[in-house]
Amino acid sequence: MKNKFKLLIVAILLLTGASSCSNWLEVLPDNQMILEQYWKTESDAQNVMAGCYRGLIANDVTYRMLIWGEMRSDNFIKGDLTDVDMVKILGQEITPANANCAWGPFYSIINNCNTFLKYAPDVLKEDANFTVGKLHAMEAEVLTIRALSYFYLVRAFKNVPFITTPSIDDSQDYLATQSTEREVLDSITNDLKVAALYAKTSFSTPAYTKGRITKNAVYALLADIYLWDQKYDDCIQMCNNVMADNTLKLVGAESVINDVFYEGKSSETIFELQFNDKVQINYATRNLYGWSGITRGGVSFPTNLAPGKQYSPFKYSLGSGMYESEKDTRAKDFFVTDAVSGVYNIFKYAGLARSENTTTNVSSYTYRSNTSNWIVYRLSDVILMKAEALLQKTGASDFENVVALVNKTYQRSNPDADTLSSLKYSGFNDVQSLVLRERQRELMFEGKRWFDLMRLARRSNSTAPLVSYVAKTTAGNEALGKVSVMNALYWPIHKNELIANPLLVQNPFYNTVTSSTSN
Amino acid sequence: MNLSMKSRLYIVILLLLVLTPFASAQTAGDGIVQGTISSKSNGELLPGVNIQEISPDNRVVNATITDANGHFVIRFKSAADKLSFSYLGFQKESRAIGSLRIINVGLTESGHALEDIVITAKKMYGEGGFKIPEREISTAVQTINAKAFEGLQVGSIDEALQGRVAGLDIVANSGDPGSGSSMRIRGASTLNANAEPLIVVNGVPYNISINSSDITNASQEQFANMLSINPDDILEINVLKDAASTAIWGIRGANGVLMVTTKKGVMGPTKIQYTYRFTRATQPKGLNMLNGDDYTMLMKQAYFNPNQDESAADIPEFNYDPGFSEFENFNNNTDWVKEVTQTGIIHDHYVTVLGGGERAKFRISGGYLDQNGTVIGQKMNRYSSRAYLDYSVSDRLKFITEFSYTNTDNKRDYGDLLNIAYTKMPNVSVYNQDASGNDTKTFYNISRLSKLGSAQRDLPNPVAIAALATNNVKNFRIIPTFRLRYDLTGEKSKNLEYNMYVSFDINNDKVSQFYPWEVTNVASNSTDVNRASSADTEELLIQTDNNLTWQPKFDNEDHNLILNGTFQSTTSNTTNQGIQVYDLASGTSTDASQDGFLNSSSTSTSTIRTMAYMARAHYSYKSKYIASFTMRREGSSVFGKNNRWGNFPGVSAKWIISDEDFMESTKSWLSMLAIRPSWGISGNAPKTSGSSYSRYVPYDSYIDLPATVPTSLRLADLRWEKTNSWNMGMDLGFFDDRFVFDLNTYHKRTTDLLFENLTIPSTSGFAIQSWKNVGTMDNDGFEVNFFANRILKKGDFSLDLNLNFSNNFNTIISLDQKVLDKYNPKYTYQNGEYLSRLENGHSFGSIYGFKYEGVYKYDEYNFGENQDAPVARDKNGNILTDENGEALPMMFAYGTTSEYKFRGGDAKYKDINHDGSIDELDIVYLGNSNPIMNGGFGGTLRYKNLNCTMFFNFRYGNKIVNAARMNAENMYNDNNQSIAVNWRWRKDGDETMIPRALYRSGYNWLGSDRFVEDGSFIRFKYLQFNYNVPAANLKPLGIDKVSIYLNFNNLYVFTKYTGVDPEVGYGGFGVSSDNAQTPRSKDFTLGLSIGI
Repeated sequence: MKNKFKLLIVAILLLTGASSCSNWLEVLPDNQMILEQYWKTESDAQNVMAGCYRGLIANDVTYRMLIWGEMRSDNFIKGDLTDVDMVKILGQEITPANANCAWGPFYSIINNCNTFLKYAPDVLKEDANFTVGKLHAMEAEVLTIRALSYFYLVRAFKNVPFITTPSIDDSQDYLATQSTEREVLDSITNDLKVAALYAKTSFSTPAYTKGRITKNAVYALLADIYLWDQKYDDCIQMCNNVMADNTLKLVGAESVINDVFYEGKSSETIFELQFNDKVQINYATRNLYGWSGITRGGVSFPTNLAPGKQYSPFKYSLGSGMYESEKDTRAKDFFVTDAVSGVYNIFKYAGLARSENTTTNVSSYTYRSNTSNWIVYRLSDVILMKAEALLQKTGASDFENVVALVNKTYQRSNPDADTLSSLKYSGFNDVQSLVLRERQRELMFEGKRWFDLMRLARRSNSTAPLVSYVAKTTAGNEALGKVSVMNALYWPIHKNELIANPLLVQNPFYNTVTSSTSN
Repeated sequence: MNLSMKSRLYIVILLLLVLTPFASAQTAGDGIVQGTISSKSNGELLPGVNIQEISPDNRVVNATITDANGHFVIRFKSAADKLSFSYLGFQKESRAIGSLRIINVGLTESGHALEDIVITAKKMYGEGGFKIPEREISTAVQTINAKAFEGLQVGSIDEALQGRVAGLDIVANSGDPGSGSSMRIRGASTLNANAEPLIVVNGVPYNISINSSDITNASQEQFANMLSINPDDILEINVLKDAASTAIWGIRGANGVLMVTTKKGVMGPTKIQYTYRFTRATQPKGLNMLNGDDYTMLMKQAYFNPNQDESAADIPEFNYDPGFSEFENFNNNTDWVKEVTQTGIIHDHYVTVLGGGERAKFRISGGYLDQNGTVIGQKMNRYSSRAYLDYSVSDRLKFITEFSYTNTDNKRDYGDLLNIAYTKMPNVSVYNQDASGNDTKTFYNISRLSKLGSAQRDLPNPVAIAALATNNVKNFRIIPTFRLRYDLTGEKSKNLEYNMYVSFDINNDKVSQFYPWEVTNVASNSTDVNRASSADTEELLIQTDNNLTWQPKFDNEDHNLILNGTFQSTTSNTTNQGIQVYDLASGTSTDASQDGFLNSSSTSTSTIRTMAYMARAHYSYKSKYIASFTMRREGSSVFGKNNRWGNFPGVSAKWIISDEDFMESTKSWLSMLAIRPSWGISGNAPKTSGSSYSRYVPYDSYIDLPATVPTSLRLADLRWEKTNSWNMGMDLGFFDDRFVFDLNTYHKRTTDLLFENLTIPSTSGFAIQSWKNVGTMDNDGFEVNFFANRILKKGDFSLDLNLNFSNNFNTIISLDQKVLDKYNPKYTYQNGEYLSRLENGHSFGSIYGFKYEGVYKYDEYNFGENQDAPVARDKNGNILTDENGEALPMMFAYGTTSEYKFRGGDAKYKDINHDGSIDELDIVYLGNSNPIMNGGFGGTLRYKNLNCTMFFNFRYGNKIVNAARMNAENMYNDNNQSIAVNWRWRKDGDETMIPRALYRSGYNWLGSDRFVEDGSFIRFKYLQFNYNVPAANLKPLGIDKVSIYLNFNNLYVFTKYTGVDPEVGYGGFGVSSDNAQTPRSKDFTLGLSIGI
């Protein structure tokens, strides 16, 4: 009896032994790794790097690349869009409540990059297979992804918080102030110079070479940044670096739709985000441009800009009966005329192939059923960036070389036409608008146009030249009043962001404007 | 010690099980005893008499029964044992065996065997081994005996408790079957950690599921489910209100505790009781909506008015033009509300079997409930069963097993049909109509090519949803509990008792939904339709408790001391799985397991563990001076290493003044006077696990590289939310406790308030921080409870009365600026928007908006005649003019992009600062959503075998934003409106309070006092008649008891509130807003209960 009693007491004491039980409260999350157990092997590092890329193809990010880059430009009018926020963007009616001005998705990528850059070097000690060379190569990719993200943010918002430390726990201060555009551009340029040293020239498979950051991708991004920053010598230098690579070639005009935009990974692509129907569908192009399911996308090409129309970049009148881009294949390849409604549906990215009946000259169009990749940089872009930089650098003194660069892409799509001649363009403004026009024809729907127009406006420090283009869509005067000052070209900081971080300073243009309609 | 906690626990249980038989397997010399049992009175031989061999420690070691001749033979284990003889209707006898080998016994017939035994003992309160006399309770506890609401037709006990307990505010979420209620004991002492009280059933905390697959209704559904204990099974409910009493529950005790005690088996012959209840419920009449004719006329005006544009109003759906291809479908007067409502019927069957002998007692019950909701398509049925079995191995060792099982199948509507019915245009038909206007068999949906506004165009057909869509939730829950009680000393004088329990809670939820394309106008291959989803939640909760209670015996019997030490642990595992597929074949494959396009799938698991040590002491001297102490130390795995453990002390004392000698003179009328001060700390922890780690999760892949990303911030700094509470209570009893008062005042201060999903700057890479301690909040209040037992008594007639009321006042002491900012957004100049201000030093729930002054009678100001026009005026009411002497117009939000010039027929708002512009500077305080007082009162009238009980509950002094009325009177969109809008302003000179119709234009429904209403009410909650058929009439039929009751529920609400029901749910931080949920139905129940 006594023994039993003692045993019971002992059992209870054992059970309640505090020291042995404190571990019992240490419950590690199921199916999830934790920081303390991570960063042990090469594949740990590689997986987080892949996470940075994965962030780039997230819905919110690709939508923003497209919307920030082009939605406010003259390339779009409303198609089948029902999303109120996006319709408002088309009408330049942008308020801090617009969901598309939330910048979080890019900062999420940036945080992944920061996490990688902080912890990946630790793996060197843990995994003998993980060499300094491998680390540097990966760091080059991650630095470039971070720079690309910041470059989008700077172009959209001008002054943004520049954060390079990873967010780990709740003891850190997350109230960040904005850095100036100058500071951000300088920092990312420096990062990219490092990345350019260590980035690989190519990878083992075409999907990697086109879908991951290579030296050429770093150069192209740098060229774009320098062009934005009006550092034309540096831009030309970077473009030359890319153009010196003779593995990059423009494909034939007849293959553009299929090779470049349907199949992807073409010889002219430099950096192209790789989508996969099973992992992530590119809803931005599918919903806004169309696919075999719904051939009419959310947006369409403005009727006013269609070939033959007054403001069209195609069959552009040079006076005295001469036309530029008279039989441009791109006018058939990149959008489709819906004969019934008169709407110009977008075919670039939405399409698989166009075939033309040689006798009737009527094209028939086949749409894609799978998801499309998204091209960030391709050779035409770089060639025309160089043309723009060269023109800005040399002013009126080197029209010939500028036009020669324009001819590289122009001739591909106008095989039967004469080459453009610098003699036909009678001044700096003429050539400048030719470059811009060629960029529009070549790169329409690739998220470039609004930034092209912003560069134009930034150079003259006036929105007037930009407005003269945007006015050519059907947008009314009211909409144009909303882009009357330079600050209006940037996006407002989303209202929730201002609540979450009182240190942020709203773009002054949006400070007084409040939403005018309600549901 | 590598053994897990669980296995260690099992070892202890095993040890106990193995050791006990050894202990009692004492030395024995066995032999045979035989004999004959007869009736003493007539010598008749008794067959089937129970014979048990009982050891000296009162354990049954062997048993047999007599044969047809009353003869028995038994092989005994020890001569030291005795034999016990028992037989129904006879007195029990026992004989020591000793040297006897033949024992013949004559049993005496017992005349009183079937009569109730009156036990006179002090009523004890407590759980497990720690029981104290009820009068020595020194904390704020209120007890409700289930007799108080016996026979009431309630779906769950929360409905029955409503208005019964001072300081317990219960609000029904809606009248939908299974939608449950929200409860607050002494206000919410937390921001958005769980604010519902902890439920404890027979001493074991009843888990409230947190991770629900059905996110939208999570807490409500689960809470209702949790309370699915059948009211018939409940013996008593104790509501613990102050921290000194709740401290022993540590985690989640901060919200108060509802302790439910279920009925147990009793000794005596087996009794069977069957109860059937029938309930018929009807939907109270809500807002009267326009018919099709009035609606279309309104719409044409609404479209025309903004720009005085005829063509804007030229919409074929409103035109009654036979040339329109869909003419027949748009020329109707459909009463959608009538189409979607029905009479609700509930059948509730319940059978209880109870009985037991000296050693074992049992109570087994089972029920089946079948309910049709008051909205079409709602159907719920529930099987429930509960078993309670205790078995005394000996006087010292006792096993208790409890088992409860519930299986609920709730067929809900897909979406809020009533809400759709109130907004759907009434001129459209339910079914597609042919050219001659006859209904066909297909449901009609407005074409997606229609030019109507998308909100109305795409509104699904609610009748079609009820018929074709599915939204079922099946719940299956089993809770077995095993208990053991062991008296370690076996001596009454040195009472040392060991108690333990292990309780398992297996709770599975399955939600399956299907949304067919026939109910909408979207294409059948859209991802939104022909879509099935299924979500499963599986939970396993294991709770263990081991405790030792010691009650030393003092020579001086004035001293009484109980000491208790407890160790508890809980482990909870939750698994969620969800899958959604679309493009299924409607009508044939409506299950997510079918082959369709996968839209999304998810799976998550979580484990939370807690562990607690506790020491308790209760001391009383002469049962007059009483003190209790509690110290609990609890650790939870949801916190990081540094903040894992929390300490929760509680102290309380009681002085029963009326027992003092000097009070002898007042004893004749003052039967009880006691004061009870108490203090304690209770705690609250976050609901989610794993947040104390920086976690990395797989994130698909890029090309063929598997991707991983960090997914959350590590919460290294998160601490327990602690509520420090002081309570001062007083018990008063007059005239031998015929009038009883129970008074409490309290002050609670919650520090380190937990806040879930705090938005953090997204520049961190994360949108939210899952939990953060954000500030301090106070709750102050008082409670008054009054009972009058048999205040009137005259012959067979008697009357009881009860009344309670309470008040809780909430103050924010300090809150993180980010939280304040989140709830104090900038004014956005939108219709329907109320501002709510959260400020340190103020309570929450304040409503701010404009003052509404009616409608501008005239468009143009005309001196002397058309005074009532939209012009700016100064303080004295004089017109402000411009330099030309023209009256300045009254503007809305002058100088902003929302600027608008008011016109005749527009809503008139008070220009508080007389600047000629209605803007944020004219917004004033309009009231607060928190009631000044709430409570209930009622009475019971008894006359012979007839009982009549009535009960009222009330709330006083709270303001409600009547959003339902706002949406039904704003004339701003295509939604159907209430008939009030027939009084709208139509032309110059019209005098009315209802502005003109303006489709998507103007500011006629700004957040103003027009839609803020007093939510005070008194509800005649129920009236019940209960008749017990006199036993004398039943005896010949072999029936024990028959009672019949008739119950009217929710008879009438006395209120000035114009909405359907002033009892709307809590609005959290903001304001409480009536969004036209399914109102509480009015019903009556007929019940019959038979006991055999």
